[in-house]
Amino acid sequence: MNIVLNTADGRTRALRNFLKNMLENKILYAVIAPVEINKKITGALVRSPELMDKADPLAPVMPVNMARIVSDITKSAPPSDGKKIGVLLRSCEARALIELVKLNQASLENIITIGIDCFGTYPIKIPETGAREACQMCEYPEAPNTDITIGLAGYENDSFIILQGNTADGDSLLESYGAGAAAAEQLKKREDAIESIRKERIAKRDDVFARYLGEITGLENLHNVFASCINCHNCRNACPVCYCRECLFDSPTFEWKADNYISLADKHGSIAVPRDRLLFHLTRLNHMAVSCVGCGACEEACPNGISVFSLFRLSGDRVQAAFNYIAGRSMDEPLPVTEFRENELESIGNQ
Amino acid sequence: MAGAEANEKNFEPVIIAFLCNWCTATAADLAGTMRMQYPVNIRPIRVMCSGTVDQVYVLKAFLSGADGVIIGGCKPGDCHYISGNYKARRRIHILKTIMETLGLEHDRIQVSWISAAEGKKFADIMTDFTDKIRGMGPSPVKVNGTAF
Ligand code: SF4
Ligand code: SF4
Ligand code: FES
Repeated sequence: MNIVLNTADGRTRALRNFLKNMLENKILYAVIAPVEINKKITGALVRSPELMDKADPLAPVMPVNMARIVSDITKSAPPSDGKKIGVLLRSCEARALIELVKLNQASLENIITIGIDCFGTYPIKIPETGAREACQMCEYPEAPNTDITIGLAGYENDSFIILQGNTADGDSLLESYGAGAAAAEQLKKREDAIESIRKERIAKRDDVFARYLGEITGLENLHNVFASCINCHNCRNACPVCYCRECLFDSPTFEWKADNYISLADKHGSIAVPRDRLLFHLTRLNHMAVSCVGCGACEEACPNGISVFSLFRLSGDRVQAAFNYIAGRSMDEPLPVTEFRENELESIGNQ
Repeated sequence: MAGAEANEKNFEPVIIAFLCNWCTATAADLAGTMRMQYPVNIRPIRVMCSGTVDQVYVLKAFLSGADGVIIGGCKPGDCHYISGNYKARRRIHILKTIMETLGLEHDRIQVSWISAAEGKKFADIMTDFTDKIRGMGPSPVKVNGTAF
C-alpha cells in the first residue's frame, strides 16, 4: 500500500512529523536517522519523539554507512519483541545491509527498514565540490528491499511525497498512519523520474569506468595509486561490508625478520615500503568485491585521497557479473563464495 | 646486482605450488618413487585441501616475486572435505577476474586437478606449467626496479 504525505511545510518537517508520530504511537520504539546536533549531522538512535525534530533525513551527507550501525546494534542480539527500530537508509546503505544479513553480521528481526530516494551525498571534507563521484555513478537511486520506501523523486515541484509499503510490516505501519493513497499518475511520475536518474548515472558510470581503465590498471598505475598509501586500513574500517572481526592484516602473519626483507630486496633490487600495501588491497578486493555496493565510504575515509573506490567499484562490477550476482539485489541470492555448482567454471583445473 | 635481473637470458622461474595432501601431493611423491623428473623450479607447499588456499597466499607469493603459482587439488567430486575444491575454483575465478580487470597477468596462476594415482600427469603438468612461465618471462612485480 502507499500513502501521500503532505509537504506544504517542507519535506524535512513532513518526514520528522511522520517519524515522530510513529514513536508517539509506539508503532516504532526507536528510529535510527541522521540528526543535526550543534549544526553537525550525526547518526543517532532516537527514542524520544521530541528529538525527532532534530532529524535531518534529507541532509546530503553520509558520515557513516548506516548498514554498519545496524550490524553493530543487532549482531549480538536483535531488538526484542515490542521494540521495533525503524532505520532510515539510502540505497547503498540498504544494499550493504542485505549483504551483512547474508554474512550473518546483522539481523532484520524487529527492524523496519525505511529506504529514501537518494540524489547523492557530498564529501565530508570538501562539500563544495558537489555530489561524490561514487554517487554520480550509482545506478540505484532507489533503496531496494526495504519495508517502506520514501519516494521523493519526481515530486520536486509538488507539495507531497509518497510513502510506499513493500512488505506486510511496511504496509501495516503505513496503515496505522492513515493517510490517503496516491493516484496512479503520481506513482508513475516517480517511476519515470527514477528511471531518468538511473539512465543518467549509468552513462556517467560507463564514462568513469573507461577513465578508470586508463588510470588504475597495470602494475605501474597501481603503484602510482598506492604509492602514498600509509597502510592505515581506514578504508577497510569505513567499508560497510568488510566484516571480519579479526583481520589477517592486523595480525603478525606477514611480519618478517629484517633479514627476510633484506633478502627480498636483494632479489628485486629494491622493495617499496610500507610492505604489503598492494597485498592488503588486492586481498580485500578478493574477499569483498563480490559484496561491494559502491558507496565510496572507503575513499571518503582515506587520509591521503587514494582512489581506492575506483578499484573496488570496477572490480566489484566485474566479479559480480562473473557470478551473475549483484550486491544487495536480493536476500534470496546466496553469496557467490558460500555456494558452488558442480558443473561450472570448467576451464579452471583442467589444464 | 639483483639475481633475477642479472641473467634474464637464462631465466629460471620460481613457481610456488600449493598441493593438496590427499591427491596432488601424493601424486608428487608417486612421481618421485616412479623416478619421474619434475622441474626444480617448483617449490611445493603441502596443504590439507585446495579449499584452504585463500587468495591472500597466492597473492603473497605473486607479489613477493614468484613467477607462477599452481594449485593442485582433487578432481571435482573427489575432495576429502566434499566441496573444498569447488570453493577453491570459485575463489580462483574471483582472483583471476580481479587480476584481469586490473591488468595483472592472471595466466601466471593455474589450478590443476591431479589425483593421487596420477604421478605421470603430475610431472607432465609441472613441466608444462614451468615451460609456459619460462616463456612468459619474469613476473613484472617491479616498477622502475622497485618491487611493490
Ligand atoms: S569497498 Fe568501498 S565502495 Fe565498496 S562497499 Fe566498501 S566502502 Fe563501499
Ligand atoms: S588506501 Fe587510504 S585509507 Fe586505505 S590503507 Fe591506504 S592510506 Fe589508509
Ligand atoms: S581434499 Fe584435495 S582438494 Fe579438498
